[in-house]
Amino acid sequence: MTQLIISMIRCATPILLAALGGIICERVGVFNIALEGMMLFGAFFAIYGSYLSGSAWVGALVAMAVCGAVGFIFVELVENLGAEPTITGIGINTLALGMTTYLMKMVFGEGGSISANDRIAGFERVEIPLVKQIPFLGEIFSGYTPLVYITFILVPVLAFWLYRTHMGINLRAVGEEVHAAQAAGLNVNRFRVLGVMGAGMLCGLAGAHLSLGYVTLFSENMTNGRGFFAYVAVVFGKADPVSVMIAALVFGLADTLSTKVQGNGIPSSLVLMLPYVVTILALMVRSTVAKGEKKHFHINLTKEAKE
Amino acid sequence: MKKRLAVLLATAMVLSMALTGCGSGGKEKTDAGKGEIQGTSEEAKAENQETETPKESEGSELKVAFITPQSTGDNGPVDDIMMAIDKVKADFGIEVQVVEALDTTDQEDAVRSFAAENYDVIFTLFQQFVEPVRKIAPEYPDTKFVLIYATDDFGMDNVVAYAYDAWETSYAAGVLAASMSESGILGNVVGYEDDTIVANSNAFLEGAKTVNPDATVKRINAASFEDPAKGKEVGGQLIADGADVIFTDAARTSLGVIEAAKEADGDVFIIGDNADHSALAPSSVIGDNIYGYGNTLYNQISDIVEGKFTKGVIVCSVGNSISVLQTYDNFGSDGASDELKDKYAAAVEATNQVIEKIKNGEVKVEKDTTAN
Repeated sequence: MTQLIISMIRCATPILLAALGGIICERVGVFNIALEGMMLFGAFFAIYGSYLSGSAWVGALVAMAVCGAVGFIFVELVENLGAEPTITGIGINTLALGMTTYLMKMVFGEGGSISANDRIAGFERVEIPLVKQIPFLGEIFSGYTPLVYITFILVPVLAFWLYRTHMGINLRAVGEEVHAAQAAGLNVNRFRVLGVMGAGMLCGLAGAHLSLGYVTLFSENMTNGRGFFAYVAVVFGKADPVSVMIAALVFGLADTLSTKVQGNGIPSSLVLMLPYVVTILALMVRSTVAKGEKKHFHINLTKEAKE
Repeated sequence: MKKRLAVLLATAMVLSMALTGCGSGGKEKTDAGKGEIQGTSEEAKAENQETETPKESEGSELKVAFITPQSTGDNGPVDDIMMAIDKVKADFGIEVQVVEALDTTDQEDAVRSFAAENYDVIFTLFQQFVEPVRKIAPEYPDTKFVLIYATDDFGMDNVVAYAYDAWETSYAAGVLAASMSESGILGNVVGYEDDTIVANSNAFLEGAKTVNPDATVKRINAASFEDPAKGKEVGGQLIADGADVIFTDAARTSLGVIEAAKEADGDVFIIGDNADHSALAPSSVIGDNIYGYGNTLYNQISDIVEGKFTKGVIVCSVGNSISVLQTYDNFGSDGASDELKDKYAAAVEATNQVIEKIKNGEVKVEKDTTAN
């Protein structure tokens, strides 16, 4: 049981971290399916930063900086140059895959994967001194790499920022009622540009977690669809940080179960469908509920703000 | 409208992943970097593009190409072949042109363009190339086509297919694993499940049982050959379940399994697949199951240099020393105890005896494809 929960949290973290970025995009009204590509950029540049500096934290910062820049390019294309967001997003994803593969061959001289390099420092696991000793909770709460803690701390922080600060309320206004926001004198464009750049940074951090926290290596296409799951988590959680966290944990659980349940006479191919089935079910439930509310999922949050 | 489109799109993407996730997509790759040319010489790119130009040197030098459906750096089959290509260059002075044809559509084109350029030998890897070669080979009787990992006999004079009885080495791997294991619980991480991989897994258990009748094998399908993070999760899970030797058949996903073993409390050992993984974790990697793709290429070229060529299907096995279970003399070079090193030496000794027995026919390893 403990193992299951730990495993669930580990699997959910990269998805959740990228999804937090997705939340900001949704909230400023930019459709961003490039989470996957941004994460992949993050994973590579985290390794590169760590390789150059010998510090995992510097690696994470490099990843954030690069992905912030990728976010900037994306939002400039979409908002100011009128590019179609879906196409641009797919473009970024494809570019990320091609470019990281190419850079890996250029920088490290090897294709496919980089690992066992002494110059690459990964994140060390954090054992929390006192909590560690508590029988059941200690195991669950202690012993992750730092970005796992940061991710789960970011959830309430982001929620507070979105619902309880001026800036957060303005930001949501930009996504919900552009014209009202404009009439109120908000600089919509600036919110969108900075919002998507922030989202890029979070995706960069998600990538860094994958390549330096989860494992200490980079391999071609190592995000393996996690960015898309992040987007689905955003949709499922109505771009609300806590709901999105729950969605990410559900995906993490499904992912864990897909390997845990194997070997009990059930064909593995059937079990492996689990995360995808859960995703489709989640989306179906989501859209049914959304229909009941007769409003679109992320235009429907004004009442929460009033509370 | 836009939002609905978004939801629709997300659903479509998840669906498409679901399909590739449990389909045969495991070995294929996405289309990025398709048709990428990884020349071993500078003019590789140029040469591949000018399909119509006659070849520059009509000398005796052999023109050899290798077309791979998986990109290099997989820590598996392709890297094994790349190493053999370096060796071919060193020993025979033959440059092998390497092309990554990751897309099904590129694969046939790649075969055809090399054949049209009068290449003497074209090597291909994996099943994807069976149909293209069947179609193209009759048109170019002077070109020899070598299918690595295929079982089809076309009856053509210029085609040879190499099949791999990898369950034999897997059986030996079972012996090695059970000799090293304390718990008797063995793990097996695979990238997907086809007949060969299932047969390997079953043979692995059979081999283990000869050492420890109570040995069990827990097989987990990670459903990807390129997800080290998943590999680490799965590896950690097997270790938590008590497995102390893990046998992988998962290319890059194995890298994560190796990390999990390295970080485990206590000794957890790995038997990898198709490449030398010992440098990654000298005290964890106890062996690698080498199907022999690289050996195949090397032997084939050396045969052709000598003017020999056999058509049909050649089965690679322990018997003809193409498939090997590689073990490491420098095991534990990063500080394992002498006790452990002695244990390993004994385990290797026992394994080698079994391999000898497989060679001389005393032990027969059946291909058992029943999935449990």
